Amino acid sequence: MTIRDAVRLTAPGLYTAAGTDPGALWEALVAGKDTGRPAEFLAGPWPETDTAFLVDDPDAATLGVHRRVLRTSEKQARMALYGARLALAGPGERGPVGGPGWGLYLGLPTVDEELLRFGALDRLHRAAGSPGEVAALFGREVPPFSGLSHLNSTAAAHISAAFGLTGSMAAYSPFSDAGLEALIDGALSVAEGENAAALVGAVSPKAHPLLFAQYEELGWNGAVPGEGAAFLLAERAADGAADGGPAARLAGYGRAFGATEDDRAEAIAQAVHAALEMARTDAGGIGWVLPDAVWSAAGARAQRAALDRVFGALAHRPAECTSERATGVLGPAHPLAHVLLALHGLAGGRRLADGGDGVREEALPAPRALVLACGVRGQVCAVVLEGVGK
Amino acid sequence: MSRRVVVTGLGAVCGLGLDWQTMWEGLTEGRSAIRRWQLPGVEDFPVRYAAPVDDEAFAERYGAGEGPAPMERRARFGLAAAGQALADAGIEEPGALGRIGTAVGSGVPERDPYELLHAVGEDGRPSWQTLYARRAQLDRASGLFCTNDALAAAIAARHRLRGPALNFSTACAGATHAIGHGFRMIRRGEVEAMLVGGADSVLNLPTMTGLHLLGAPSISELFGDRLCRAFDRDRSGLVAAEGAAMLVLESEESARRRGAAVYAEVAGFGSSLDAYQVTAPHPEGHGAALAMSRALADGEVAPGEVDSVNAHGTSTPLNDPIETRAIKDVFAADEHYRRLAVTANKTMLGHLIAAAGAPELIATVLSVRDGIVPPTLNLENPDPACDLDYVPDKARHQEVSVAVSNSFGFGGLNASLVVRGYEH
Repeated sequence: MTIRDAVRLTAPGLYTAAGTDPGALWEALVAGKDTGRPAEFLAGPWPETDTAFLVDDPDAATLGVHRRVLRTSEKQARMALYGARLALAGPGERGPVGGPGWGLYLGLPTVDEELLRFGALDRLHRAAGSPGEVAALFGREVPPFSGLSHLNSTAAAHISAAFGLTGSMAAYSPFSDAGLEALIDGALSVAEGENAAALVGAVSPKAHPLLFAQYEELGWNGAVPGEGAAFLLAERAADGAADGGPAARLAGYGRAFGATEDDRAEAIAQAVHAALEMARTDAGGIGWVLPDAVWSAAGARAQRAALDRVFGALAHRPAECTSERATGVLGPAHPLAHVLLALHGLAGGRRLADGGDGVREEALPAPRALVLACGVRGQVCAVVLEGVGK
Repeated sequence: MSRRVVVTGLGAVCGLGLDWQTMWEGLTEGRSAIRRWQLPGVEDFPVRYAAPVDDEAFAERYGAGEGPAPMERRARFGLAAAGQALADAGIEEPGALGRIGTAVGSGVPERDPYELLHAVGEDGRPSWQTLYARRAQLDRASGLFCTNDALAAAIAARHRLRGPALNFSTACAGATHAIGHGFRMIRRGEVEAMLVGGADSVLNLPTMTGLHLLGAPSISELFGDRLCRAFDRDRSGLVAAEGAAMLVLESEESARRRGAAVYAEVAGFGSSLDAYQVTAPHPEGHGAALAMSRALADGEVAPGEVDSVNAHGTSTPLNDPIETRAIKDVFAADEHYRRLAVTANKTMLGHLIAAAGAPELIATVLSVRDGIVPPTLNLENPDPACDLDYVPDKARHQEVSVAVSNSFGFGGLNASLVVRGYEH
């Protein structure tokens, strides 16, 4: 049985600046709602950025966990845990969650935060000439559980412990391709009989001044950062739709690599063609394209060139839309947020089209959506999603 | 489509040597790379033993230009190992094979401990604005800029690989996950070959401080360079190491087509989660046992067919008895665990953290090919809770038809691989 026939994607859990479900994000995009927040902690150090799409840091009560979890987690892990909770505690009835048939596949950014607080920097400055004193300072000032909280995969440990997931797993990092890799391999784990169900999710990096230095080095185009998490469940199609929520098939996927800008455009096009072929359709069978929110200029040009190659010959190109206006750029979580938007649209036969000055809602002309992810160094993924019908 | 997957190329850079041949020679002769070590200029850091790569020898062999500078230490090791593995496989133009990708496991980026000093202004007060103004002075070879997908991308770019380029972040199981998923991609026909493995270096102040504060590395001075004592009663923690190892995995058809020599066959992969605690493995080893059982089932290998287990064997108080219990659970039928040769390579290599599974898989592959099980060193006072045959002191010559290699990461992220002798 193919992945298309064997697996159903369902149980959306979305946490972004636009709210806590795909419907809220959909409405925010259509209404042109301003979901950004002033970000004074970014405006000073990074003058181009005075707002960001931030979310509240979930507390222990919101997460349904003991407070000690907060000591061994960073905001990123807590956003992920909340996204997982939203997915697994969604509307409707689902059987017991957890156990050896339940796997976990995650797309994770690295944790890019300072180890020493600013309050310790005067001492670091004084000790800088003496490596021994610097080491002693680190020993005193670095938080005791930083070895876990700065390890991005600790998010997987927290989620598995919270929900009792002991199935097969994997975690990828650190950019947007990681989110779709998690979806592809999570769905494959179900299709190939490794898991009965796989919780698939991804989280954005925490907005932090250090992140911008990294982004600039990698060709940042000024895109506004966002925070959030996007989760869903890949389950056996034969298990049926227990909760009556939106669902879709992963009809096809492709993944590739292109080092240079030209190579990358070709790699994206190849990944899309592979996904279309596996989905047993062609460019004309796609009703909606959700491109990646690419935050490097070279990446954006490559993605545009690839989409022109794939869809350029069509008389009516499928509408395109990203969630960037309402979520900012979400890193690994971005393509999965798009997958959740696609689930929402496919279920209602609707799509979103970004006309430049705003986003409008339209009827979906074909029951398939294409979601792209373009990692900043050239890793690319494409998936074709298909409505499951009633 | 389900195809057989074979190993056709090996590459390694570690404390035992700068190629897989030297590493294997060291492992089979019972040599240890663990030595007295200190962070540069730091005489009283509590952790005093490690298994570092010989910098001078590495520079002499690979030169400063091995990686497109700037690049983290771990990525330079990884690029060197990747080049070795492709050359060892006799692959000059990877694209000629068909679709080929790469998958690597990596851990925490190597951060510059001094980077925040750039935030301290002339008035002695720190601010992000000051850091912004001086951002050009930040170290481009630090983990802040060399994000942990940099190695996979550098390998793919250098060798013009057009298939998937993945980075796995599953702590100490990262490389084993990378290898397992590469294996699966070939088996299902998604790619023709994969360059897989891991690279890591934690021998820097920020990461070693984090590990020390967790109580992970041994700080004992009782045993000198015999400090890594997996399964011994006097074990007291892991001994950190650095390095990289890469393998060329290839479909059997591809290997046969080009007449490649085959080391062994990768037969199965399994993974699991403990769902227990972030700070400790499941006390009954449920997750570890699940990973091994799944790998065996994936390879359609009965537990009774297995001759050897390359254990995670960290020399930490918790891991070793728990892994022993898990092995006994998985191989309980007919008490087959009594017939297993269990080895802990970390007693010689140290713990390469996210990369650990890669050199250990190479050792497993060569065990199967050569019929040699490397020893577990320093097992002088066996822990009563660790009562398997750990091949103490000296390598053992014995037939190894099937072997399992284990990697268990912080937080209960587990992965196992099954290797089988190749017979066409």
